[in-house]
Amino acid sequence: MTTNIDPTVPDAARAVRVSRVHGEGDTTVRALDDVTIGFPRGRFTAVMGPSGSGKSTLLHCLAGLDAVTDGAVYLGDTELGSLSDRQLTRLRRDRIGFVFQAFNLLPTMTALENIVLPASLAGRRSDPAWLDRVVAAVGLEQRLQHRPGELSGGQQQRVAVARALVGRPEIVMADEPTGNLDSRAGAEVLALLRDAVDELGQTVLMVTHDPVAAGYADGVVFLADGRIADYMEAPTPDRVLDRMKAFDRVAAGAGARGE
Amino acid sequence: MLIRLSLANLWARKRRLVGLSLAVLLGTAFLSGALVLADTMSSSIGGLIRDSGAGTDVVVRNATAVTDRPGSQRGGIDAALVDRVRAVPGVAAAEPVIQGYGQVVGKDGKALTGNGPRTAGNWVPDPALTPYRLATGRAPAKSDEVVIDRATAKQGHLVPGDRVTVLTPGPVPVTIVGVATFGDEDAFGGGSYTAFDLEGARRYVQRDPGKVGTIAVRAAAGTDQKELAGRIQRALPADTQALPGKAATGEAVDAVEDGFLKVFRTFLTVFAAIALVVAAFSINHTFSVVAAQRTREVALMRALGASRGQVLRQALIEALLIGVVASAAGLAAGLGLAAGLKELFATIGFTLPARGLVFKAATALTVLPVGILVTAFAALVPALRGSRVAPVTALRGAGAEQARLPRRRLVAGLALLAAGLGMGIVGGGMVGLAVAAPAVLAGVLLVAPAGIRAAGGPLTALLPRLRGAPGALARGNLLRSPRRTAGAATAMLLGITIVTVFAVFAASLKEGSGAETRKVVAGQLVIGGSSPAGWAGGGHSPELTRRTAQIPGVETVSGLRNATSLVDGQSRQMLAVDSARLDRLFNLDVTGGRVTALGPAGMAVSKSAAKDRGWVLGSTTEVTFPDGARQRFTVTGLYDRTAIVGDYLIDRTAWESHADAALDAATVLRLAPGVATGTVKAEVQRIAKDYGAPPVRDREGFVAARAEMLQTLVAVVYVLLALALLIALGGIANTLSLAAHERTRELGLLRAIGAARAQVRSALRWESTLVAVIGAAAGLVVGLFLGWVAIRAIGGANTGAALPFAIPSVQLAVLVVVGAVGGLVAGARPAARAARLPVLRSISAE
Repeated sequence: MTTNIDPTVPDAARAVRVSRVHGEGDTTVRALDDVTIGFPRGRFTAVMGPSGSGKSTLLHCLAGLDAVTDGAVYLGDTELGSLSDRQLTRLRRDRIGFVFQAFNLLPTMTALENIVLPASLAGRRSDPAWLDRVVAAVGLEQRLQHRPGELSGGQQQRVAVARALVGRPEIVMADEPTGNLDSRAGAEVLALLRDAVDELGQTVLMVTHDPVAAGYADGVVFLADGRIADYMEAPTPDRVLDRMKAFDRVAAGAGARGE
Repeated sequence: MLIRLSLANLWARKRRLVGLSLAVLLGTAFLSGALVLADTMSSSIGGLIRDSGAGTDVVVRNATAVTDRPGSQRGGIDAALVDRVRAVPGVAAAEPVIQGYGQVVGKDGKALTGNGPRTAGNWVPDPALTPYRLATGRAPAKSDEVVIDRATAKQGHLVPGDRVTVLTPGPVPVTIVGVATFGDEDAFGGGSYTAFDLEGARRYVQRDPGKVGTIAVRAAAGTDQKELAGRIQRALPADTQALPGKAATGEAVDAVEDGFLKVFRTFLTVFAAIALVVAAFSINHTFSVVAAQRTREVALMRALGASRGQVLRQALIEALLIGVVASAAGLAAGLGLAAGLKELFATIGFTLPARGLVFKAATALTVLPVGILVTAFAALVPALRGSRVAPVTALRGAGAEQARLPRRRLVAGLALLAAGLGMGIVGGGMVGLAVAAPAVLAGVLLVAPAGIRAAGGPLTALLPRLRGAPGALARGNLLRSPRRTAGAATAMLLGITIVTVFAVFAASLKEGSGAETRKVVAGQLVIGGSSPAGWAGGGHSPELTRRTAQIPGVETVSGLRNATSLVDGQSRQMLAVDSARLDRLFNLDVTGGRVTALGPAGMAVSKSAAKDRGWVLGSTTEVTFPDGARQRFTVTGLYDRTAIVGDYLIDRTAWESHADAALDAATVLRLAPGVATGTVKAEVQRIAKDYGAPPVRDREGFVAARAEMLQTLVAVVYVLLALALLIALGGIANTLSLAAHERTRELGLLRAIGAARAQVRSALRWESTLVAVIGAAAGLVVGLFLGWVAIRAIGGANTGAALPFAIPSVQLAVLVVVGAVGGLVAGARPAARAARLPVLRSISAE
C-alpha cells in the first residue's frame, strides 16, 4: 500500500519501496516489505503496530541508522543510501533530532552539556536565544547543572527532547519516548512534542505502541507484517485502540488457523 | 554445580575472559621469560665449558688459587713437568697448555675488543685436548704464526695470510695461518682466542721459557680419570695439582654458576618480581572492574537464593580457572620473551652466551603456582566486595559502583602518607627507606581516588576547551568514578615510581663516581682504564707506560696493575703501582703513614679495610701470590679515598716476579708544571698506536669514560623496567576496552546523535592518555621522593662518601612523555574497536 499523507506539503522524510530483510536463507525475516510513505513537514505523525510489525525498523532506516535492503530513503532531497558513514553521521548530527525510549543521556555530563552535545560534537555553539527558549519550553531552567543520575525519568526524557529540538533539525524522531515513563511524565513529554509542532513548526515522527501517545499526533500510520496496513487522520486514543484490536483479531485468527 | 556455572559464566563473557587472562598472562610471561633466560644461559655456559674440557682426562695445574673468579689464571708450573707426566703409566698423551692475555689489533690499528676475555695461548695439536677445530687454513708452525677464532676473524675481516699485531700485551707482529671454531661455535662466548705454536706462546704469552700454564692429559683406553690423577699427583711436586677432568670442568661450571650467573639470575628475578607486582595491581584492577560490571548479575543470583559464600566461591573458582589457563599461556609466552630479551640485550651491547632455549620443569613449577596464587589473591578483595552486594540491587537498576568515597579510606591514606613522608625526611637510613617506601606508596594509593576527585576537575578543565566534545567526554569518564581511574593508573604509578627511583639512583651514582674520580686522580692524563670489562679484562703493555715516562714534560707515571692475591688467606683485589711518586698521581687523602715508596714489602691500605681487619700502621700480613709464593707485608700507609685504586696497594716491584701476565689496566701521567696537556696527549697517542691504540684521555675525559661504563648496565636495567611499564600499559588498554564494552550503549547513543567515529576514538584515546599521565606524574613525584630517601640512606651507610642527589631531568622528561604516548597507544586499539561498533546494535545492547 502506498500512502501519501498530504500531497500539498513537501515531505521531511520519505521511504520509497523500502524493504529490509534480516538474516539469510531459512531464517530470513522481512522486517519491511515494499514500504512507500512520506512524512510531510510540520506534522506530528505516529507509527503504530504490533510487536514485530517493523515500526522501529522503519524509523531506524529513515534515520540512517539501519541500511535498507531494497528501495530508497530520503531526508528532504537527500537520498541516504548513497551516503558514506561519515556523511550519515553528519546528517544525524545536523538534520535529525533523536529521542529514544531509554538511555538517552550520557551519565557523565550535566543536563545542559547533554542538550548541547550535538552542537559541540559539530564544534559549534548553540544559538543562546533559541537554547533559552527550548530550555524554557521543556521547563528545565533549574535543572541544567544536574547530571542524569540526579533527574527523574520524566526529567531525563525532557532533557532528551530539548537536545532533539535545540539543533532545529528537519525532523525529530522519537522511538517509544514514553515507554519507560508513568502516565503523567509521559503526558508531559508528549505535550512537549505537540507544542514543538504547533509552536515551533517542527516535524515529529514517533514510533509507539501506546494508543494514548498516538492520540497526540496529527495522523497515525499502522504497520503490520512489514507493510503499511492503514492510515488514520486526527486520531483519538479510543479510535486507535479499536483499530489495534482489529489487528489483534486478525493475528489471533491467523494463529487459530495454524499459520 | 558452581564449577559448571563458573565455566558457563566465563564462556558467556568472552570479552571479560580475555581481559582478565591478558592481565595474568602479561605478568607471568615475564617471570617465565626471566627463568628460561637464566636457565638457558646456565646451560649454554656450562655446555661451553664442558665442551672445552670434554677430552681432557686430567689437568695438571698450580695448586694456588688466588681467586675463584671464572676466567682468571693461576700461576704457571714448571715446564719440565710435561715429560714427567708423559712418563706416568696410563697417560696416552700430555700436552702443555699456555693461556694468557692476547688482544688482536685490527687492520685499522684499533684493538678488536669485545664482551669477553681476550686470550692467547698455544695451538694444541691433539684434538682430544682442545675444543678448537680448524675451520680454514692450518695450524701454526712458526712462532710468528697464529690461528684466530672465527668470531674475531669475522669482526676484523681477517683471513689466513693477513699480517696483524697481537698485543700480549707487548705488540707481536704475526701472520694469520688459520681460523678455528670453538666446537661448532665461532668463539667461546664473547671472548677471543689467538693460538701461537708452543714456542711462540712460551715466548710471547708465558714469557718464561721454564714454565707452562697447565698440562692437559689424555688417558690411555680403559684408564680411570681419578686413578690416573692420583698416579700423576704422586709424580708431582707439592705446589702442583693433578685434577680429574670432570672435577676441573665441574669446578669451572660452579665458578660461573656462583659468580656471574648467580648475579644475573638474581637480577632477572628481581625484575620479574617487580613486573609481577605491577601485574598483580593490574590483575586486581581488572577483577574490580569486572566485579563492578557484574553487580546486577550477582544481585540477581542473591535474590534467587544464592548464599554469599556461594557467590564468593563462584568468583574465586572463576579466578582460579583464569589463573591456571593464563599462567600456562604466560609460561609459554615466556619462551618467546626470553628469545626476544636475548636479542634485545645483544643489540644494546650486552651479548649473552646462549644457544637454544632451555625450558626446565622448575620454571613451570615456579610460574604456575605463582601465577595462580597472584591471580587468586588479586581477585580476592573484588570477589569479597562483590559478594556483599545486596539482593535488592538487582531490582534497583543502576548502581554499578558506589560513587561515594569512604572517609575512613582517605583518613587512613593521609595518615600513612604523613607517616611515610615523615619517616623518609626525618628517619633517614635504610630503616627509614624500608618504612617510607611502602607507607608512601600505600598512602598514595588510598588517597588517589579522593585526589583525582578533588584535583582532576580543575586540572583537566582546559581539555573540553582545547579538544571540544571528545575532550569533554574523556574528562567526564575520567572523573565519573575516581576510584576506578585511580585503579587503572595504579600499575602505571608503580612502574614509573620504580623506574624513577632507579633513574635517580643511576644518575646519582654516576655523578658520585664522577666526583670521586675527579677528586682521586691528580694526574692530567690517563691511558686505558675504561674498557667495559673493567680492570680484570683489558689493558695495555707496561712497555707503553715505560715509554710515556720518557716523554718530555711528563713528571711521573704509574701503571695500575691488577694484583689479585690472597691476603691472610682471603682473595683480595690489590693494585700494583709505581709507588715512588704516588702522591703526585693520586689524592688518596692519606690519614696516616705514607703511601709513596712502598718498597718490596710495604703496603698501603684503605682506612675502612684496615678497620675491618684490625690493622694499624706497622701491622703485618701474609700475602699469597698466584704462583704460590708467600710474603709478609707491613702496613706503611692508610688512606681514605678508594675510588679507582681500591683497598690494597703494593709496589710493582713486589708483584712483578710473581705474575705471568704483565698488563697495565691503566696508566696515569702527571705532567710537569706549565706543560700543555694537549701536546703531551698527542705524543702519548702517537706512541699508543704501536700498542693497539688504547684510549688516551685527560682527566675529564676519563671521568666521562668511567661514567660510560655504567651505561650498558643502566641500559639493560631500563630495558627490563620498560617491560614493567609495558605491563602497566597493557593493564590500561585492558581496562579501557572493558570500560568501552561496558559503555556500549553510551557509545551507540553518541554515534546515533551524530558523533563521528573519529570523535569516539579520540575521546577514548584521551581517556587512556590521561590515565597514563596521572599514573606517570604521581609515580614521578613518589619516585623522586623515594629516590632521594634511598640516596641519603646509602650515603649514610657508606661512611664519608655521601652520594649527591642528582635528578636526571632529561630521562625523567622522556619517561613521562613515553608514559603519555604509551597511554595513547594503549588506548588506540580499544578506541578503534569502540568506534567501529555498529550504532544500531549498540543502542539496543543490554
